[in-house]
Amino acid sequence: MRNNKHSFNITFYLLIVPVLIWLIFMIVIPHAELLISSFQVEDDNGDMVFSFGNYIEFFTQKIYWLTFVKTAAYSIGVTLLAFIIAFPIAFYLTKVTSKKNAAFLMLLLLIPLWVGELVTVYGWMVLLGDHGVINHFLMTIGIINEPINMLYTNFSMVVGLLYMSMLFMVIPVMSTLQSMDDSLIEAACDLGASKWDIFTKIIIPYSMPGITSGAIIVFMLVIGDYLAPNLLGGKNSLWFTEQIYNDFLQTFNWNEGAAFGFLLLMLSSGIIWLALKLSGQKLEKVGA
Amino acid sequence: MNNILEIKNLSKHFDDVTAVKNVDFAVEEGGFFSILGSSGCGKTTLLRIIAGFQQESEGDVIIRGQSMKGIPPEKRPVNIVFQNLALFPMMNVRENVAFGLKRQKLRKGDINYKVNEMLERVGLHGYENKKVTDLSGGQRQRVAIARSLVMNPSILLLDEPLGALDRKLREHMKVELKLLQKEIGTTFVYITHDQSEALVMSDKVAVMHDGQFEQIDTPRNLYKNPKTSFVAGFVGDSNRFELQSTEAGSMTTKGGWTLPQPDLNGSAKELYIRPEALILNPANNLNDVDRFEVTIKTILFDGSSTKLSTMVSGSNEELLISLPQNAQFEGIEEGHTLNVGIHHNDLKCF
Repeated sequence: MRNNKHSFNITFYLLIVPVLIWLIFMIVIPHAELLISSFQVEDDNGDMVFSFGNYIEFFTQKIYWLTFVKTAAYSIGVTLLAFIIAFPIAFYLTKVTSKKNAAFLMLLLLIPLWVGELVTVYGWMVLLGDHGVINHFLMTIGIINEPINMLYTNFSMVVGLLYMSMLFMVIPVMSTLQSMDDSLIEAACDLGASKWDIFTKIIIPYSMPGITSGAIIVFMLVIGDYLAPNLLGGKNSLWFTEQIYNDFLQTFNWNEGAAFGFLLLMLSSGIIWLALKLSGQKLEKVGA
Repeated sequence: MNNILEIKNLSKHFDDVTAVKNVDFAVEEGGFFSILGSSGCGKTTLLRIIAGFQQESEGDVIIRGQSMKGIPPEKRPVNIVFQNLALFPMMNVRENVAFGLKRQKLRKGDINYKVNEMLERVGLHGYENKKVTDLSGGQRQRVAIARSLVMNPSILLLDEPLGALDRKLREHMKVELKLLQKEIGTTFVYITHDQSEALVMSDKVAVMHDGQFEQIDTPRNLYKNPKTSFVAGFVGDSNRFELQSTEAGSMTTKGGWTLPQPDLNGSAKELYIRPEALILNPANNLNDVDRFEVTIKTILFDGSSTKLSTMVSGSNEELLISLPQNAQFEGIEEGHTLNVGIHHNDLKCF
């Protein structure tokens, strides 16, 4: 018995040590480091002193918090769009088509992930550009005479963000729908529910945990994305991650960058907390 | 006689199988009608056709004199209790029961009144705000029945709703369901593979085999006078013997056991004898009883349904006999011989 217990302890420590190393060195220490530096500014002598200056800068400069609000609003919008597009796909794959078809279609959905975000973003540039595939096609068949300006707009940015994040909505929604017994739909039908009732009162509430976890993932991916807003967005589609990037790598103001990073972290956590409260979902349930 | 449900020559073909073949029956208003059959006999398909979830290939379903052709499930005056109950897990008990009424756009007060009354009736008063996932099996059962009954259907269809319960609870729910049906007077059409459920609860039972009805009868008649060999073998326990030869007034089984049979039809191939029809130590003054001797091989003790496995003397046939658990047969042991009798009416030949 003693021996047994002893060996259990060793296994336990062997398993916990990598987790602890990861947590401490990759997450706790860098964040603590950033948190400290976000409260520091350079004084006239070039020394670092404690100050709220970086945060005050954010609230006093209109461009910063406007970008901040815009990023949040667009992220919420993209999450909603992702849900609207992903839900019918998830429903079709789990409840309508055959298992074999579903596996094949799922594979097609996964392919963009294999090539990486950068490549798909360039793909969209080829499609949406003034001399891109779509404009060329529309002009050839004579619907338009002048190319429509799609690239480097909010539209192309949203398309790119949607494209790279949509799948992360499809998968959790699919897994909750898979666990839903078809007899629930039949029972609702039997009790006189219309198609709309069945959708809004049975299917959506049932898949709410999947929708919520999908929404959290999509929202996090979108609000923290850099490539799509930078490459597909125009001059006025400034994303908050771009501000942080500029602070770190253009103006080398690491302290302000750190402060902005923390603001973004608090913003996204705050919105998710609020969304969970409003939808009545519990984080434990969503994660399961 | 007032038939609430009539099924006319109903058939259902799937790609290459016929699940329901020419089924034809009627259910009286206020009756408890069971369809009894082993799994895969087509009974669930039949129920789903009545509910409207599947389309019949031929024939018609008539409810209260009105053909149900082309009428979708949500418009039919029937409700169904599903095998897995299909309660809505994201709603509490009250919301589950009120779901159908809300779809009818009734006034809130009316809905509350009806829901409360129904929950009271099924004994779930005080459970209104519980989540259905927190209820026990029997309670979930009652929620499912209440959810359908509150719609006041012409016919309540039940698809083996007791299948998932443990034995004790099932016995209890059997009685409860029967009492509930008597009390509210709704017509129940109940499908099951459990003959005891069908026999205990129903006014009429249809035995279904291979897509067809073998016999529609009262539970007592089904047991006493089976019309086909399938019914004889399926309903209740039976000793089954294959007949070798039949002559005027007597028959011999393959194992060499000769029995008298006064009104035997010449083409009979099988003989069924119920273990409980056999009389131990028959009195001499009993008429129309064939007497013979058996040797006890083993005693299969099972409480009130204890049976003796015996060999019929002078033959190679095994015979199961019910053994009453009373003082008369207390001393019985393996290897003993017993005098046994069987009334001629209890010899069922097909």
